[in-house]
Amino acid sequence: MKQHLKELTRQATEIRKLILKMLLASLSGHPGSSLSLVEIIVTLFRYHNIGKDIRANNQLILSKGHGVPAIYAYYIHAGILPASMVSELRKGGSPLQGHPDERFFPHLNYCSGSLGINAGMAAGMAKGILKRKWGTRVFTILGDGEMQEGQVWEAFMFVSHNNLTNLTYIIDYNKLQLDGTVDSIMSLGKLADKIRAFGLQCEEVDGHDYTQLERAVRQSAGVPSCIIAHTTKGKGVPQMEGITEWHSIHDPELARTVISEVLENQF
Amino acid sequence: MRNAYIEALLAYKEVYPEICVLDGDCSRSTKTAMFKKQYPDDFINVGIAEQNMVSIAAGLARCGYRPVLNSFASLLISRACEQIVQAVCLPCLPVIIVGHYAGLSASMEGAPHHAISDLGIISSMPNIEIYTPSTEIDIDRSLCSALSSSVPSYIRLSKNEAAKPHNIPICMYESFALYGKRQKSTAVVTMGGMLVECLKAYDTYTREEPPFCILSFFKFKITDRTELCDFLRSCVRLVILEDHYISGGLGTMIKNIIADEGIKTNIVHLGIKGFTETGEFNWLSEKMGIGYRSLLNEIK
Repeated sequence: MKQHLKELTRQATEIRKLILKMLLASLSGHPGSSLSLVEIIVTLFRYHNIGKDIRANNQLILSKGHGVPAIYAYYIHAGILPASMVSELRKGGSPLQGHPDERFFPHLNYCSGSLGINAGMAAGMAKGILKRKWGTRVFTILGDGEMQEGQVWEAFMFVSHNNLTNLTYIIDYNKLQLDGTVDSIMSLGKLADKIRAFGLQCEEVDGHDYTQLERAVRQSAGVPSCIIAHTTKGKGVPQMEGITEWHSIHDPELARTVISEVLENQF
Repeated sequence: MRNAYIEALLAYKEVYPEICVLDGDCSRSTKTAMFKKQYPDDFINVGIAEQNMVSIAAGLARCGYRPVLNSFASLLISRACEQIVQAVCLPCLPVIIVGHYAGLSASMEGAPHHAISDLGIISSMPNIEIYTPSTEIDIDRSLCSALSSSVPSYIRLSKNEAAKPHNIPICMYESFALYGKRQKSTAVVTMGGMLVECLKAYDTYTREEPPFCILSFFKFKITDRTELCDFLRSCVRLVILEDHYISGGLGTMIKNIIADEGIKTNIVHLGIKGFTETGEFNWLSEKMGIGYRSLLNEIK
């Protein structure tokens, strides 16, 4: 088990390195939001048959689309994309669009960028899969700030009312949004209680602990569910951890200096 | 128009078994309750949640279904504008969006229920076809075209009965129909529920030949532009009549074509100039300047 966890931890480190390399090349994007996602993404891709074909593969939808460097980094790490793509984030004509865009990145079955919308789209997809009896699941990663969008709660009502047993939301609860802490902008309050009141099973886990994540994902099967993954924004980079300003790159020269130094000294 | 719409939809369900219908708690008004009665497993009432309804339809489309979603046009298009753009148009999914109670047709409900900006909003989105049927044949053609297409579609339906043209020559083109004789100096250009007003005006000429013909667009984004432009060039005067705000609807579309093609003609634009109010439909239409009497004033 320990060896297994060591391997997963090594993967997470490699993926974080790739995220930072991509952002160094683009000097545009969302470091904090991408870095907090890594363990969630590794868990889902590693153990849960994520893929393109809705009939045969489980679906992963990154509704908090600004974290997409983490997805791209996974695909490069897994060898599905060539290593050279690390310099292509947000470049004109690149498949690595600023937010997920299936028109350019055909591994995806969604576009995202405007928050809340894919909470509903995922519900429709899960409903369609159940109607078709394909047996596949839908995992949708939401941001904590995204939970402030009313549409997310409309989706939860629909999921519960229609008993979408093949749908699991995972909230990347890193406590920060663009303007500051979630608690100071629009507190989510007792989030797990709210989600349960909407009829979904809800577990809370350490979003950087593989054992807890995997257990929660397994327990989410067969019931409409939500996992609140408590994470650290900017995880893995002490200069960025828990700092609002690293939500997105707003000072390219500062980003170049900090990310270069981190890559040289830490990774 | 909803009765003709649901009859056509039920008929097409036999041709397209993948049709599934969504409604936002309006099914007794939109008549999709009749679809639910026959196909309960292919009907989803999402409740009063238009944004969610559009997003759910997108998810269903990704599983190979043909979602046909229904709500009141005024509430649906504005509220779910972003979802239509991001979840449906951007990935170009074959979702059919049906906006009921178009224009002033829900006149007694008051301004919030009057869809006078929906075409302006939808026509600003890439990838989506727009249908503004007037007659039962138009409604059938709209559904047929939307279902056989792989792109998103918006169908705009009046609450009022579909127009029933009689005793008038009709010539069908790809995007529009010509009512009356072609060689007239004045052409009334209209769409959707406003054909009824045009035909009322036409029928007032009992002793003489009406001095105008009518072009009614059932397909808002024109595909047979050459034919249309040939026709427009032969007109001395155009009177555009629409149940939409003067910006973003039929008038804007026609004027853009006329400007693009350098066509010289006189244009009178009868459209809605501001926010509306409650009232009986005929009274309200005249007050807004788009009833048949307002049209006759311009023609005479």
